Amino acid sequence: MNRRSLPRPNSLALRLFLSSAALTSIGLLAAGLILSNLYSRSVQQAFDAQLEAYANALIGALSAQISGRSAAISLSPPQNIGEARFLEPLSGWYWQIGEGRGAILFTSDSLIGSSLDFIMADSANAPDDTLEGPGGEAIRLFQRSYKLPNNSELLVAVAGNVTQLNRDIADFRSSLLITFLVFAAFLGLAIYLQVRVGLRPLKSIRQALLEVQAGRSQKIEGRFPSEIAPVVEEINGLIDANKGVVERARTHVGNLAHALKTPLSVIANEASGAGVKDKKVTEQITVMRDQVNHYLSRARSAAGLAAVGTSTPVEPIVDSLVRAMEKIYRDKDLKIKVSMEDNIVFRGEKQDLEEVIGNLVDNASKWAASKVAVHTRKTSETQWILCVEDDGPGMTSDQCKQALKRGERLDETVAGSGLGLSIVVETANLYTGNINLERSDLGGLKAELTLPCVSEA
Amino acid sequence: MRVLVVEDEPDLNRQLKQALEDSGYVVDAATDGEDGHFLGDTEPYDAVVLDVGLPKMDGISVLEAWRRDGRTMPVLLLTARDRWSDKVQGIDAGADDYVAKPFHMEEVLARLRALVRRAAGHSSNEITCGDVRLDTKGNRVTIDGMPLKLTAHEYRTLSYLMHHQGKVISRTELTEHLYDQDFDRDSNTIEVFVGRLRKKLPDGLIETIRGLGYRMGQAE
Repeated sequence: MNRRSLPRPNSLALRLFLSSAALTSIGLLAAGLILSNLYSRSVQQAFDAQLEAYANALIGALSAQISGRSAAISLSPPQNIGEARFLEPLSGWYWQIGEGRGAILFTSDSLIGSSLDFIMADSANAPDDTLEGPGGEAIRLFQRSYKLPNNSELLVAVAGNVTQLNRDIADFRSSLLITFLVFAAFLGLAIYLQVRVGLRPLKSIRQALLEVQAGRSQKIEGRFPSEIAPVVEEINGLIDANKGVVERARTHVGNLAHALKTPLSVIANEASGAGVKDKKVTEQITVMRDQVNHYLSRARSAAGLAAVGTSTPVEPIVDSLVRAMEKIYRDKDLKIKVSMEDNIVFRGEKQDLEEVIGNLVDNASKWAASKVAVHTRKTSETQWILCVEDDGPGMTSDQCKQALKRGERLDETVAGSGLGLSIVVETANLYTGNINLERSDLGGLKAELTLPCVSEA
Repeated sequence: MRVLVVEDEPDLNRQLKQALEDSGYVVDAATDGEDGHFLGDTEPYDAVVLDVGLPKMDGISVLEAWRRDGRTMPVLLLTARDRWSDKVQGIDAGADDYVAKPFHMEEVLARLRALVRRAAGHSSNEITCGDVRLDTKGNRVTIDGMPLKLTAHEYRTLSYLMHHQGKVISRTELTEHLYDQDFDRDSNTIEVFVGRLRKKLPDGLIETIRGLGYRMGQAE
């Protein structure tokens, strides 16, 4: 038969709280029971000592006369031993003096004719030494034998009413329970606070990881307790290792590009004649070049996405690219107007952002008559828009749709369409952004690209 | 026009040299960064075709060193690393243009032509001086629309003088820009070519400035 185990709570705090609370409750319960028993035993021992004192007093108060050769002892009833409750009928306080287990000699007035014999007989079986008195009250019994000079034996029995005693014990237990409940509540609060304070560094790590994930931070920063600091170091090491892997992958990709493209250039130039074979080789080299560029671009972007916590300020990238474009297209006397919202930080790789902006601005500069406009603005806490416009011939809406469609059909895309849009569309898709093409107010093409940004919170 | 090609891949180096020579340039070639840097630092080139990935000294470092030393010749970068970050790095280092590998030779020639033209202050592929028209793209010369037949050396001489119209060009400068580094600088071949050119061109188009050199067109 399968034992079905109870579901474990997922929360570490709840686990700690429940286990501590359970152990504390068991401890408190045990302490309460021990204290209660110790108190009961203590007051019962004091009660028994009082009964013993009364028995001794009764023996002391007996008057004895020895007569004749037989040295017979005649006893007279004991005088008042100073306890009024022995005079009060069925008060629960009794005494009795007898000859061994034989005849009863004297009894207290409170017994009003009855005796303690049957009670004495029951006492051996009473588990907690509490018996029922002649009046139905709860009593405790003390008995002692005294040997007389003639070797006869006197058995003195003293009983006391334990109603008050039991009431005292019950009162003590009630007080103890209340005290322990208050104590338990306090301990519960203390455990809760301890768990909260103790687990706070974990919350800090979580927050720091979110900062890294959101791109606001490069690694987990802050001071952590000695028990957690090694874990933080390991996580930071992992982040660094991840970046290292991505960087190495990039380097290898770049080396591969270099290794392939130079021989391709040689082949292309060797086959630059006008023959049929030359044309075929040239055509295939173009396909190979586009494929290499296309898949290298995808590999680089995918590697960029794998890196945790990367972010790139937009403004310096736009500035450097615009500066480069103005130099590349200086023959055209191009005016590139830039307006940027402050402090936009792209949530992603610098090289991807450079590719996207570079291709869009290059495309605009290539087709522009004289004007290109670049602007950036935030549309929400987590998104921003890059808008690049030109005053060139632009594209029809069908051409715009076609250009974007080609980008979507990634496996069939042939990069280097002449518009540089393929890389832009793919990068936008990788970063779950999107691109929109329409006619610009300047007269040419307007490309609006939405990308994620790092929120300032 | 004298051009330096710095490319480590021997076949590509040879192809570039051949294509440039076929287009009327005088070409020196180097196969590593150190040699390339030395030539660019010591010889007067009208343009440089510089590969980025070079042994001994990479192309960007070579370019930065030239610019630091005040070498202003136009430089066309050849790069297999064609991301914008690489292009921006090259342009920030002082490159005037770039061509991504693999390339069509025509593209390199066109870019280089534009760089040389731009460096001499011309905006069009066609440069005119009086009735003479030089088509740098087609390597043709016409007078009043009639084609002029020139040898390769004559064409180079005329092309250099027309690119630098109004400037007095010394015989030494002309020699440095029309011949590669192995040419005997003391020969008087230049005078022979200028003399032949004068016979084919309208009178007075190439002026001799005594003790200084030659000039085409109006003084600057």
